[in-house]
Amino acid sequence: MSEVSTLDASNNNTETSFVRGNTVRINSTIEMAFEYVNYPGSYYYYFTNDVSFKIIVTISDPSKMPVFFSYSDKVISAGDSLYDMVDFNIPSGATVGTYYVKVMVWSVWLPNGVPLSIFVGEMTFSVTT
Amino acid sequence: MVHDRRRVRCCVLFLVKSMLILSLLSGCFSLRAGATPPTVQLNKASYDKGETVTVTVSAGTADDVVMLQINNPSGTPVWAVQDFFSSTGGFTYQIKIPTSWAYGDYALIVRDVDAGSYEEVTLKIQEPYQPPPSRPSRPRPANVNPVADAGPDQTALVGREVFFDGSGSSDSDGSIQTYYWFFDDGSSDSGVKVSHVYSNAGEYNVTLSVIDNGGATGSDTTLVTVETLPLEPESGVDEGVGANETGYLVNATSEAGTTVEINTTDPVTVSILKYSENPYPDVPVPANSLPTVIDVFVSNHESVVWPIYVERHYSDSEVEGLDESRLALYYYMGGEWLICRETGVYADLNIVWANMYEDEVLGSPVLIAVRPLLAAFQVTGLAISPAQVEPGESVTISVDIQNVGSETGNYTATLMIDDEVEDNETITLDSEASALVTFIVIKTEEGTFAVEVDGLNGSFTVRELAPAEFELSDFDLSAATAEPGEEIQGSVMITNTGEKPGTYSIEVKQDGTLIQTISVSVNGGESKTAVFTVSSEDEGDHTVKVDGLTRSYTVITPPTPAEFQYEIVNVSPREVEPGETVSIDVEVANVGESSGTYAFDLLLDGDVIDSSSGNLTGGEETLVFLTASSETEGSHTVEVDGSTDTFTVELPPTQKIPWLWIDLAIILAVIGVVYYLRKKKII
Repeated sequence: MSEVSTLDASNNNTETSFVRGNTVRINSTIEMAFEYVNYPGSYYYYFTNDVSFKIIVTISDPSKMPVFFSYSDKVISAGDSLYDMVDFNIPSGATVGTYYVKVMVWSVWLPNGVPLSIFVGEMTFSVTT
Repeated sequence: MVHDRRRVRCCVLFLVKSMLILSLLSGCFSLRAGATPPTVQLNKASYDKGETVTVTVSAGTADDVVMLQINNPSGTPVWAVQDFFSSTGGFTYQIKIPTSWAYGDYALIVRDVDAGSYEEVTLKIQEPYQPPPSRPSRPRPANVNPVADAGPDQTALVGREVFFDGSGSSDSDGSIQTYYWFFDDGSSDSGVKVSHVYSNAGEYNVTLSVIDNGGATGSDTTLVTVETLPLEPESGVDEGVGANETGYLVNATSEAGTTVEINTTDPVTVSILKYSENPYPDVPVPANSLPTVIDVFVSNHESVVWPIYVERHYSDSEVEGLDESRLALYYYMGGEWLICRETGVYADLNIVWANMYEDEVLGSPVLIAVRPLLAAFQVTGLAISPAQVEPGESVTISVDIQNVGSETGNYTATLMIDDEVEDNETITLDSEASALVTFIVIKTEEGTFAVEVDGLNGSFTVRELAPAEFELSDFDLSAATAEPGEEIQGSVMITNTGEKPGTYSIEVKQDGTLIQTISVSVNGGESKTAVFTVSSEDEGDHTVKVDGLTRSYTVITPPTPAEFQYEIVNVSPREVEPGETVSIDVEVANVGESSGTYAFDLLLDGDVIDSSSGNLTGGEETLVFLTASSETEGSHTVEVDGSTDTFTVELPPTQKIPWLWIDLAIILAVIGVVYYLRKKKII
């Protein structure tokens, strides 16, 4: 996970404050990293193979109730970056307050799945009216 | 977010590790049997939509990744969570069940990534149970849910232990097997009695979940308000005291030199903390205080039967030079140190004790200080002077105050007039010192006023004043005579022989006619002079009356002023030789009625050659004799104030040339020549 941001879907501008009826666009960037080992005098790079994974996006409302759950299957190569966007329509009866966005990258679903990044992409946005 | 090299490396390492695990585990459910799965507990057996599920995971890998996934009854993932186990391998997660989720049995899977193990429990989401209208047969008795009791709300201190006691929980048809505590700061614990240390101030909802022997659950929540201490304590003791304890002793002798004996009705946490210095440095400790300050803290005042008994121990060296018999416990409250209401000392045991009441413990911390000997005051010698005054006059009221105690103190003397506080004054007196406190009172209303100063009584009277009465005197006019129209000033003195101030109007009449009214305000016993003017155009005597007082004056037309007329009445001789003196007689007449001084100049051909002056009474005439002379031949004019005359200066006869005879001889000679020439027929 390298970046998560929320956009106003109507103009694709970065925004963290919305009103009911708006569409929040969750924009995630995934980078496939590689490992390098530094020996004295030389560098050895170890590239991984292509990896398939699930990108999971969850949104909780101010009471921590799930309001959005989305996932999709992706494949990425070593050193590549991948962008993923999902839209969340704020319901007309949505609770006003702070909403919590989390983006996770898992190999497969549990019980066998493992996270492909120990870091969870997190951010918040607010619904004002 | 992840841009620096270190984090990228971590990612990759973890990724490689994950892939290894993935390759090993792919579809290998059996491998889990070799690892210890985490323990997963839900706080209830079933939930309705909108309820919050508390998931408590224990026995995980400390500080490593935990994954949580919820599948709906169809096996489709509907929620996922990724986080870290705590340092003790625990993980707590709460989720509010959305109304959009269908009823049914959900699978809740928790994976300990590092251990490669997982645990799956059933999350039941079902409608609240509604009994059928009738039962054809006697139902099998259901397991009744246990009742959890997390104890009363508590106040805790940051960094100090707060104790929780779930022994008040019960199960009517069995026994409680498990107690889980969720401290609302991400940590949890299990057991009937647990303690917890909060790192941050704030409010925490602590939940106790209990599970009975039949698997039924119950929960209760208590509020813990965590406060910050004013100062980091040097040492201390935190102890949980159960409900209904009598004479329970919290012993902090070694940590804080203090013991607390307490009676309780509910579980409570008692903390006894020792500060090495005054935690409120802005408020100086009382004089002769011992340096150590103790904080006695009770987490819930309603759980305690007040007062609590506190003993503070001290050493002989700490009280060296102090009056040990007067040691007492003080507590801090609202910016000052106050002495406990019930406090004393066992000097032989080196113990200062106090029965501390709820308000005093609220004001903890406490300290030991020497109780001061209080000042005592005696009020004597009420003096009121004068005892009778007129309205507006001041009355001086004084009392003598003496400090008969042995310490300096403040005393406020209160003056009451007719049972109402009129004034007060505070004085500070050293032991055995005395001072005179004086009040000045001014009353404008009449009557007798009761005076009380701190139990001493007296009175003073404001008496009624005599009404104003007026007398006139010293009536006078500035002149006995005046010209017609000339003003004469009159004056009269008005004296108020009464005591009250008043206004008096005087009427000024001239010859019986009112010409002026004058109003004069005069205080009692004082006099004022009223001034007015009178005049008349009529000659004769005039009478002026002012309220019975009479004066007169006379109007007289004054004589016409002196007016002088001048006339040259004689010039003699009128013909004089050069340098010869001519007498000039001037008649001066005063045609006015008043005496006056005349003065005039004698002019000769316009030049002043002499002057004269003198006095003449009205109508008097006089002759003034003057002289004039001139060297110049010819006519000369003399003048006095417009009156003129002349005289002539001529040469004497001997000094004249016989121009007539010379002319005649010439004429005869001409005639003779003409005759001769005609006779010779020359012409």
